[in-house]
Amino acid sequence: MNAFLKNFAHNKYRLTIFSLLAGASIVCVGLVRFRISVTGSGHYVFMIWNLILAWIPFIFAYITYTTSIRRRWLYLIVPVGAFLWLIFFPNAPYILTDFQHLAHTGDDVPVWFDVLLLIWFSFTGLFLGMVSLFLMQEIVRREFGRWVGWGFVLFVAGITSIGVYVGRFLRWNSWDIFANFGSMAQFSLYYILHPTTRSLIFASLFTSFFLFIYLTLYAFGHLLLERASKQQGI
Amino acid sequence: MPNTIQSFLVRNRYKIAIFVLLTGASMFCAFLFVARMAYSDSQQYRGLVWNLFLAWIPFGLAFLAHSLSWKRTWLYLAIPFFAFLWLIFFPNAPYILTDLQYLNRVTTPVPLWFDIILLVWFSWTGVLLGLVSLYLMHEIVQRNFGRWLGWIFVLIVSGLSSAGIYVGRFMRWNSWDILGNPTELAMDILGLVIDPSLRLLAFTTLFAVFFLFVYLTLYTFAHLFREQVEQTAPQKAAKNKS
Repeated sequence: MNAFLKNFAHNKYRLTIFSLLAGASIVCVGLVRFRISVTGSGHYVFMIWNLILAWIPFIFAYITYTTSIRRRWLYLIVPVGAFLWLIFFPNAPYILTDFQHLAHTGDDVPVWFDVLLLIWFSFTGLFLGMVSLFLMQEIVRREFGRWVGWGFVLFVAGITSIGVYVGRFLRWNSWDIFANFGSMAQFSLYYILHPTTRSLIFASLFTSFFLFIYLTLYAFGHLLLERASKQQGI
Repeated sequence: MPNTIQSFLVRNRYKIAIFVLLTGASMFCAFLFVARMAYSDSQQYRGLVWNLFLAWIPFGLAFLAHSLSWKRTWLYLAIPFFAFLWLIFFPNAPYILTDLQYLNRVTTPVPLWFDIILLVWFSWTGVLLGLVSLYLMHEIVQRNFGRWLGWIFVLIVSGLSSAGIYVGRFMRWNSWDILGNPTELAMDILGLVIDPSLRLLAFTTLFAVFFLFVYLTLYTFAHLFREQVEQTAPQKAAKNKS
C-alpha cells in the first residue's frame, strides 16, 4: 500500500494529465451524443473514432516511457513501441483537419455549437499528441542527449505532416502499413518522386504550425517551472 | 554593462523565448492572410488580423504588470489599474476561436484546407497569447495572496471571459464600450443576467470548462518537466559518485 502511494506521488503529474485528457474525451463524446439526441443525425460520430485513434499513440508512448526506465527493457521493447507510436502518431494532429466538416453540415444545429464541439475535439487530440511527443523526446534525450532529442522532434514534426496529408487527401490509414504494405509503398514512392504544390504547401505549413505549438508549450513549461522553484527557494 | 545585459537575457530567457515565438507566429499569420489575398484577390478574413491585434493587448498589459509587480511600491498603485484593463481586453484572445465559424460559408476560390490551416494558426496563436497572459496574472495573484486565491482567480477569469466572448460574439459589443458606452452596455448585460437564454448558458459553460481544461493541461504539462528534472538529478548524482 505504501509502495502504491509512493508510486502515485512519483507520477502525480503524469496521472493528472491522463485524467484531464480522459475527462476531456468524455466531454467530447458527451457533446456528440447530445448532438445526436437533438438532431437525430449521426453526423459527427466519426469524430469519436478519430479521437480513439488519437489515444493510441498516447498509450504507446505512455507504456514505452514507463518501460524505458528499466535498462533491461530499453533495447528490446522500446524500438517496437517507438515504431508503433510513430505509425499512429499522425492520428492525433489529424483531428485538426476535421474542421473542414464545418463547411458543409446540413443539420439544423447552430454553428456555434459545432464550432465548440470541434474545438473540444481538436484541442484534446492535439494535446494527446503533444504529451506523447514529449514523453518520446524524453526517452531519446535521456539516451542520446539534448541535440538528438530536438532532432527527433523536428523529424517527427515533418513525418507527421506528411502522415496527416496522406491520411486526409490520399485516404490511407495507419494500419495500411501492415495490411497493404506493397501498394502503399508504391503509392508513396510515386508521390515522393512527383510532389504536388498542394502537398508541399500543406506539409510545410502544418510542420511549422506543429513546431510552433510544441516550442511554445516547451518554453511555457520552463517558465512555469522556473517560477515555481524560485518560490520554493530551490 | 554587457554582463548585465547577458545576465538579464539568461534570467528571462523563457519569457523572451515565448515572446519571440508568439511574435513570429503572429507574423506568420499575417503572411498567410497576405498570401491568401494575393492568390484570391479577396479581403475575406481581414477581421482576423484585427482580432489577433486585439489579442495582443491583454498580453502586453499582463507582461507590463508582471514586470512591475516585483516592486512593492508599484504593486498597490499600478497593478489594480493594469489588472482592470487586462480583464476588459482579455476575452479578445480566446475570442479568435469562435472565428472558426467563418468556415461555414466559404465562397472564395481558395481551397478549404488552406483556410483551415489559416484559421488554426490564428486561433492557436490567440489562445496561447491568452493562456500565457492569464498565467502571468495568476502568478501575481498567487505570489501576493496565496495558492487558493490564485486558483479562484483563474476560475473567475475563465467564467467572466466566456461571458465576455458571448457578449462580443452574439451581441457585438467591444472591449472599449465599457469606457465609451457604459450605460447601454450595462443595460444589455443586466437584461442577460435577469433573463438568461439557453444559448447563453450552454455557450458560457462549454467555453469556460474548455478554457479551464486547456489551462490545467498546460499547467500540469509544465510540472511534468519537474518530474523529469527530479528523476534525472539523482541519476546524475549517482553517476558522479561512481
